[in-house]
Amino acid sequence: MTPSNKASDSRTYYLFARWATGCYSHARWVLILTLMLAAACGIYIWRDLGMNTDTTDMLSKDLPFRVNLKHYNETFPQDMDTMLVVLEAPTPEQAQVSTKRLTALLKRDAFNFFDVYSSDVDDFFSRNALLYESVPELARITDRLAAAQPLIAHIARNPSLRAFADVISGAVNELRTGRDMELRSVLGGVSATLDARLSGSPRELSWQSLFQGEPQKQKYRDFIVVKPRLDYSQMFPAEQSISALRAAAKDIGITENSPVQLRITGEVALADDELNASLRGMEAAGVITFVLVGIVLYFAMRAGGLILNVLVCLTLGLILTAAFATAAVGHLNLISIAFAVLYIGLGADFAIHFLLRYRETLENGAGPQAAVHISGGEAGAALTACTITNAIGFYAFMPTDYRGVAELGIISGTGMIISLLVTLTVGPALLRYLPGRLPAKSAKKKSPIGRVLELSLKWHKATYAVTLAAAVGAVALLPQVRFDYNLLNLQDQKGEAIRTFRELLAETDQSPWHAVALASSRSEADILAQRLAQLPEVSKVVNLTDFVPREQAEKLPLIEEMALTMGPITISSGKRAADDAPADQLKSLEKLASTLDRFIADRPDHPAAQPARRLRSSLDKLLAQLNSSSADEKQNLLSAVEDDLLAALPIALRNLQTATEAAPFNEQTLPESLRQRWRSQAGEYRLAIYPAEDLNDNDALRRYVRAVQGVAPDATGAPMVSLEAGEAVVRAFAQAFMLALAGIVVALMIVLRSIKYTVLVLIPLLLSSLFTAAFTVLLNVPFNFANIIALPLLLGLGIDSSLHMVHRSLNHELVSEVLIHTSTARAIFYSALTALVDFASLMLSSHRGTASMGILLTVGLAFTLICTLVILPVLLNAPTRTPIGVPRTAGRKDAG
Amino acid sequence: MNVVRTIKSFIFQIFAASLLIAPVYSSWAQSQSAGDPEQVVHTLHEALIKAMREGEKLGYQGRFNLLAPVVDKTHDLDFIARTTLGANWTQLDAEQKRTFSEIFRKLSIGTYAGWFKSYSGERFEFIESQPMPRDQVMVRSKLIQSDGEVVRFDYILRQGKDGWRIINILADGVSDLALKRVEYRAILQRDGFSTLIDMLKKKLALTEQG
Repeated sequence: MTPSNKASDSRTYYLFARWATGCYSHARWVLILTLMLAAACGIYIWRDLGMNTDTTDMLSKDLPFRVNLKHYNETFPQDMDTMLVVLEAPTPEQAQVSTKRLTALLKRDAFNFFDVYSSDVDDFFSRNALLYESVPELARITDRLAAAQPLIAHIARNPSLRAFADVISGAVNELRTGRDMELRSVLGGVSATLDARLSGSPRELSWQSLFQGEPQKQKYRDFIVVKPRLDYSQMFPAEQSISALRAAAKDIGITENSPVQLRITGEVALADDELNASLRGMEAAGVITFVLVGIVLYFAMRAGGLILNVLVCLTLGLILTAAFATAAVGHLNLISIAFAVLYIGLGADFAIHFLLRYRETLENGAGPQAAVHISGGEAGAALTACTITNAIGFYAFMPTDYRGVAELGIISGTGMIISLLVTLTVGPALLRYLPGRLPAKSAKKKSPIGRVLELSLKWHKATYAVTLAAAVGAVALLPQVRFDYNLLNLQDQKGEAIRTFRELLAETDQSPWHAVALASSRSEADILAQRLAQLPEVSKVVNLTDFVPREQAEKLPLIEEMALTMGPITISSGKRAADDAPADQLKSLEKLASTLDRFIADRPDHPAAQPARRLRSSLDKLLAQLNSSSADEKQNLLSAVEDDLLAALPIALRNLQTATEAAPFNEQTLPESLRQRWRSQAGEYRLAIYPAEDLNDNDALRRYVRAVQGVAPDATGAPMVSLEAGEAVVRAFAQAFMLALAGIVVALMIVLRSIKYTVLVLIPLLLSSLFTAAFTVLLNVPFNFANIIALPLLLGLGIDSSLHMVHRSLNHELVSEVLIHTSTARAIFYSALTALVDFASLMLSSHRGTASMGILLTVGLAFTLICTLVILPVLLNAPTRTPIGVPRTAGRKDAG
Repeated sequence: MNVVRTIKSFIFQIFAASLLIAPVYSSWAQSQSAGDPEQVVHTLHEALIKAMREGEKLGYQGRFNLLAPVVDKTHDLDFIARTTLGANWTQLDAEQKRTFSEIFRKLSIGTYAGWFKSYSGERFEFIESQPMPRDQVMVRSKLIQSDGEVVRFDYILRQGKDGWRIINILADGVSDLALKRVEYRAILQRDGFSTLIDMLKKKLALTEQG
């Protein structure tokens, strides 16, 4: 070691030694002053520290994808920050009615909802639905409706179970005598409805499905796009709007048990769910962490006073760092809030190193004041090096595009400096009062940790071999290290918003994840749409043109013909169940049963025979249940069945009526709320580009985004944003790590004045990074937007640990056999363990991003420990065979 | 013969084919037929009552001749014929169109003549007239039997160049156009035009037997 190094080192040593002694002597004043400072900072933070929970702001505004998105959001602001309300009902009629009522209710609440847009746009699509059908399809619809017209007319005139049963009987008789009619869907629909009632999960019969000649689906969906008021000063910006939305749903009778179900998803709801899972998870994790950290500290210190010392230093440092954040940044974002976690991890590390060193010196026979002097000086010198390298590591994020992490970098980097000062100011001052008396534990006894570590020194060749093999294996795995762009994978997968969202994603034609492109004119929009639609990655492209049906001149007479043929069917409201005696209703049902029997007997091979048999068996079950019921039950069941069968009829008829009133329209006469979603004020046209594949898959996402960008380079939307943001983040981290590495190397060279020792510090760091990266492949926990934040901490602790070891070995010329028994090794072990329990609790979080961060940190710290405590001593041993020409400093020979 | 009961049982056989309608000549009717929709319907009703009252005396052919001009005046038969065939109409050649329209007209008149052949106190009663989309009007009425039984007749009318004309009739809500469309188009698409014409001729012959 060069003299200058020694000199600078001893300058640092004496500076901190004297500072620590001073603080120890004037403990009372130091403590009073820091307490006052802490109180002042506390008030300042309370008053001025904001919270910015807006996740979109986390990446630099200048990135091309953010520029595109910004332009798009300015052009079509109604799509920004929206919730998607999904209403699901067993019939399209119920879905439609609920959607209409909820939309109306939400529109009235202008305080919570800026914009409410239902998929039917004020009945526009129900009114013009037929115009969107093709010409041949219109003729088919008319045929189908004409065939059903007499049946519908009869039931409408007398919408009762009796009349319905009689009409079906009549129709089945006609079928039996050879008339050509399509009764299969009616028979099937009725038997499914009866079965549903008898099995205890009743659902209404959808007349609309019958009219359309489709089998009734399990459920029907309707959407409302809601732009809620968001209050970013709140921890949960959307909480109030979401509660208001749920209250409104309850008002119109949508509850957990109602046939119509409401689910909320979309950007805002997902963000709210995510915040909920990650923040509420943090509270529980915080409590567990505190307890576990306490336990680990107890094992490290075995003295209540020292533990309290660590905790006081931590708390104080946290307050001061938060105060710095308030002054320098003004707010915390979702990532920089993690500074607290980083600080606990690294701050505890600092305090543990200082206090364990103090204790070791004390055990070696020094008096308290001398021990403060020595440990203050030595820990000060070592921690300064750590602080510099760590601060460089964190500050390296400042110039990157990832603003969320850049802010974390400023706060945490400065936090390191604060931590150093707090540890060496408050730590010594507290020692005056807190430690009381340390347990007189035999210092000479080798700790169990040390004894385990001896093994690796004994088998150093094996250690080399294993390390080398593992390193080669890890390098081989490196190409498989992935970054998961999918933000949905970070969330608690049990959340309502996420499950709904994934369901919608899987149905690619409704995918809420689709790209959007802008075109400056209508013709350009049409050309672009055509080119995009040809891509195999694209399922369909929608633009304003698609909302103006073609061949309206041909279709309108056909619709007119349909209206005329159907006639105005009005439902009679006078007669209902109560008017029919149960005995009469029963008689009609029995008549229907016998008619079906006759039909099945006469025409066993008729296409309608199968549904007829099914209806017959449903009727059997119904009649059996009716015959075994009391009079009251009988009446109730019959009226329930009547409701199931006929409740949706009036709505279906009204819709049919509405649909036949379609009038010609063009782009100019589209409803304003619809048109402005597709053409901006400034005349730009929006194209929605739907993916052909489920974008839950990262590879599909990349293929889709690149293909679309090939045709429309300025396209934006959630798929673009998540891919581009992911790449920006990866870029930011790569850039920051390169910068950090370079900075750390330079800092180490200055502090250590030795290439060899610089390399020795870096080797464990690089090895543990390598192993951790390889493990993300083995454990299938790819890097993502959340756990990548753990990397700066791993970097920090990794440098700290190996630097401490090298420093201790360097300053005291210790051979590794001794080194592993020093307080330094113990401090590294326990501070890593503290960090480990700090983060292991994250693994239990329901937020998958947080949990993956816990996994990454746990794995990373485990490797850091192995590399610094097992591999590094072996490496350090190698040089001892070629001794360094600097004599040991007699006064500081204090090996444990 | 009990017209109401006959019609009722007929309507109850909801899917049985074509509907009624029959005319009686009336100078009053002629003068009023160019008037408003209610007048048009009234004209038809007058003619039908007359056909019933004089039914026995006139015989089928007499009733047919009586009703033919009234039906022609009150109904847009060409339009109804065209509409029943839907898109298939445009695929027919001019000769076929003429053939179909002609037999359709005869069948329509013949059906009236077949149904309304005797009188036992029936009367028509006007209920209301209400505007419909596309400038159409619906005139609602009912046919009341002497014993009080009722069939509702709703007429859809539109204004052509010759004034208001009936273009569809709903008997107890069942659309005449719907019934005919289903039946005719099925035959036309399955068996072709000549089978359809043969079927219509058979139907016409049946109206004579009542």
